[in-house]
This record gives sequence, C-alpha cells and structure tokens, in this order.
Amino acid sequence: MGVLSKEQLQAIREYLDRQGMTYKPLQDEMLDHVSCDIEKLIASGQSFDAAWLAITKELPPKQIQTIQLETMETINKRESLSKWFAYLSFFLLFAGSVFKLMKFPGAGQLLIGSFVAIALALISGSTFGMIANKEKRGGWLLVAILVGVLLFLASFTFQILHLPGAIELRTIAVVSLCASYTASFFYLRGSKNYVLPWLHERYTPAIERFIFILFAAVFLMRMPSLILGYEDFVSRILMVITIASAGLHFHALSWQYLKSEEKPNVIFSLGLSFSLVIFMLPALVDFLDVNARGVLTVLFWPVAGFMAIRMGVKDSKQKAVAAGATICISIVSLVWALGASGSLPVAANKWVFNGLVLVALLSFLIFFRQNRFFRIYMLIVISHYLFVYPWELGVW
Amino acid sequence: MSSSEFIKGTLKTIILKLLAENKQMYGYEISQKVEELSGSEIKLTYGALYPVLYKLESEGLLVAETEVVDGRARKYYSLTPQGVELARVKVSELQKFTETLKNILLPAPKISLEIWGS
Repeated sequence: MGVLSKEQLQAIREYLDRQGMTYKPLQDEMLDHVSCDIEKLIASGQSFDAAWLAITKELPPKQIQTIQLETMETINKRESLSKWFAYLSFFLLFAGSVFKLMKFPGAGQLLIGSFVAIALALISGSTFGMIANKEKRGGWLLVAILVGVLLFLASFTFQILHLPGAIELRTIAVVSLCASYTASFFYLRGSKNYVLPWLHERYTPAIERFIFILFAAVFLMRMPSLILGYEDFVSRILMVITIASAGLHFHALSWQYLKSEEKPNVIFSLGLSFSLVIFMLPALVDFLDVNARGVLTVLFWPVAGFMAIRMGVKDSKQKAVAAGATICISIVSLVWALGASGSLPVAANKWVFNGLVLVALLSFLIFFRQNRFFRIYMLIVISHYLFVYPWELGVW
Repeated sequence: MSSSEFIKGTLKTIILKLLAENKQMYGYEISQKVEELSGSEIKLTYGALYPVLYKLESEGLLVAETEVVDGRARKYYSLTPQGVELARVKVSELQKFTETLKNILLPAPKISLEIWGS
C-alpha cells in the first residue's frame, strides 16, 4: 500500500479538520486509518475519488465530531487532578484581578495562589505522564522544561512579594527554558516515542482553552484603560503571563511538526531556537534596555511568522494572507521600537496604535481561528500590541 | 446479523485478546483482523474503535508507539503487563459468559416419558 500523494493526504486531513476532528493525535490516527481504507479500495481497482466518496458516504453525519467528543471525554475523565488544579488557578487568577481592581487587600496572595495552582497542575500532569509512559523516552527534557516554567512562575511570585532574587530567578528560568527548548528542537525529531510531545499533544486542547480564556479576559480588562486613558497594572501582569504561556505553547507546537519530519532540518531547528531566544529575552526587562528589547521584538515577529506559516499554513491563498499579516505586524512593531528608542517622533505611534489597527489584528485572528499555529501567533501579536499600547493615545 | 449492539460490551475484550496474540497492532490492522476473524460479520466503525483504544491507553492497559509510515503517523498499540493480565481474565470471563448464553439460548430439552414407553 502507501499510494496516496501528499496532496491527497492533505485533503483527508483538511476534511477531518472541517468535520471537527481537531485533536492532533486522534486526527493523525484517523488519517492513517482512512488512508488505509482508501488504499484498499484503490488496490481493488477504484480511483482515489471513487474510494474517497465511498468512505465518506459510509460515515454517518457528525460521526467524526462524535468520535472526538467521546475520546476527549475519556481523556478528561482520567486527568482529573491536573484539571482541578487548572480550574483552581483560573479562579484564583480572576479573584486576584478583581481584588486588585477593587483595591481589596490580599490580591497579591491570590495571584501567588494561582501560580501555585498552575505549578501543581503542571507537576501532577507531568508526573502522571511519566508514570503512565515509562517506556517513552526523553523524560529528562520534560523535567528540564518543567523546572524552567516553575522557576519562571517563582520569579513573578518573588516580584509580587518584593523579595530579593526575582530577576536572578527569572534569568535562570529564561536561560534554562531557552537551553531545554533548543535541545528539544534537535532531540525530538522523527517518529520515536518521546514523552514530552505525547503529553503536549494530549493537553493541547486544554492548554489552548486556558490561553484563549485568559486572553479574552485580559483583553476585556485592558480595554477600559485604553478607552478611558489610564494605566492598569493588573492587566499588564496578566498580559505578560498570557504572552509567556502562548509563546511557550507556540514553540512547543513545533514538536508535533518535528515528529513527522523524518529527515533532520538543521536550519529550521536553528530558526526555532533563534525565535525562542528572542521571544524569551524581553522577559529580562531589568537587564535589557528599551533599544535592545525593541530590536528583539522587531526580529521576533517576522521569524516567528515565517515559522508559523511553514509549520501550519498549507493553502496558497492563506499563505499570502498570513505573509501580509506578518509584514503588517513587523511594520507596527518597527514603528513602536523606533518611537521607543527616540529615532522616530513619539507622535508616529498614532499611526500604528489605534482602533483600526487593533480591529485589523483581531480580524487576522478570526480569519486564522482554525489554524493551530497561526492563531497562537496572532494571539501573541495582539497581547503584545496591547501590552505596549500607549494608553494616553486612546483607541479612536 | 446486527452485530453493533452486541459488540459494545465485548469490544474491549476483543481488542485485548487481539493484542495479546499479536504483540502490537495499529487501528486499521485491528479492524481488519476483527473483520477477517469474524468472516466479515463484524465490521468495526471508527466511532466504535478509537474511543475504546484511548480509554484502554488512559487506563494504563495499552502503550502506544508512533512511527511514520508512507508519510503519515501510525500509532502501534501493545499491552502493558496489567493489560496482559486483564486480557487473560476478560477472555476467560467472556468465554464463560458465552457458554452460559449458549445454555440459555439452546432450545430447552422437552421432557418426554417416551423412554419409559408411555
């Protein structure tokens, strides 16, 4: 067997996507099963089109979606501990935000509580994954990335509590995350069974739900400060967490892509590492002046945009739109960076920070809502845009 | 034969049994084997097979390994030690149950006094 072309395989994958099968591990498995069924019919003398029609005709309406729902229910039932910690972290995060807005005491403690809950969700999920998959390789990489994320969260805790050592902790976290992710781009390649991409794929729907809910909430919290023209500390902190989580998830998505790459592509892996390093470095605000951060940010958008297009945008029309969006985003970022460094008058910000550009960015996000790579890229873009938005300009 | 209503309660055991005998199998292979062994009487749908495979995997009864074959990821399942043990127990239970069913479904022997000559 094995007679299907790349285009035919892509057509089947797109069909599964359209039918609501978006959970990558299950989609891969169904793609293989459907392809085998089609190849069997082709071997009996049918054309691809006839075989494809016969297979799809046999499927009752909504069956593909039902398979995903039933499978997800099975998975969700089991991972209850990490799920409950994730819910708890949400609750504490928003309770902390409301407390902060209402100027009630204890907001900082609630935010720290939410970090602890996120940490427990990650630890319990990873521990379960490692125990249940002793046969899978690369446990050390999972531990290294977990330690990096925990140190990152700990550094924010130190900052909120005004404890010394926050910047040192963040530096160690950033360096360790950059090193372990870079190692992952070279190590987790091909079809071997590694625990890290397996766990990430499994949790991808939950991770994306978490990031998008957080984004929506932070977006709504941020808008009043931009419309009414005042600075809001809480939404800025939550924006940083949204950007960091989405960025780490964006780079982790490449594991799913690398898994299907049989031949090593060193340049692509180096590109991913470079994109991650320039993404993480602005977290070290205290070490980097605004010029350095400006250069890194300007570099990040085209590199990451290219990676997102390469990994996830297949259709040529969508590729053109994605490339256009990446160029616009890079220009916005360049104007911001030049304004921040004093090379351009601050008044130039008015051209890139306004309601029209914000609506355009949101439209790109909606346009790419089905694309798992580019939608996360757009989410990071919009979060960062809102983060650096000069509130005194207003929206209109 | 409408097999779907009967297959629901036994599919888990069938998969465990096949994997106990075949070391490792992928989804399509399992469905083909079931069709072959049942003389095409039982055809596993995608909807029946995959939720059960994921359930068994999440219960720690199966482990999966992915290999890229013909440009697509193929997931091979095999039994864990608990899976091997459960396969043995479940197959034996199902065999006993089918024996019991057979007894119930066989026509009841007529009580006859013919042998006494009446």
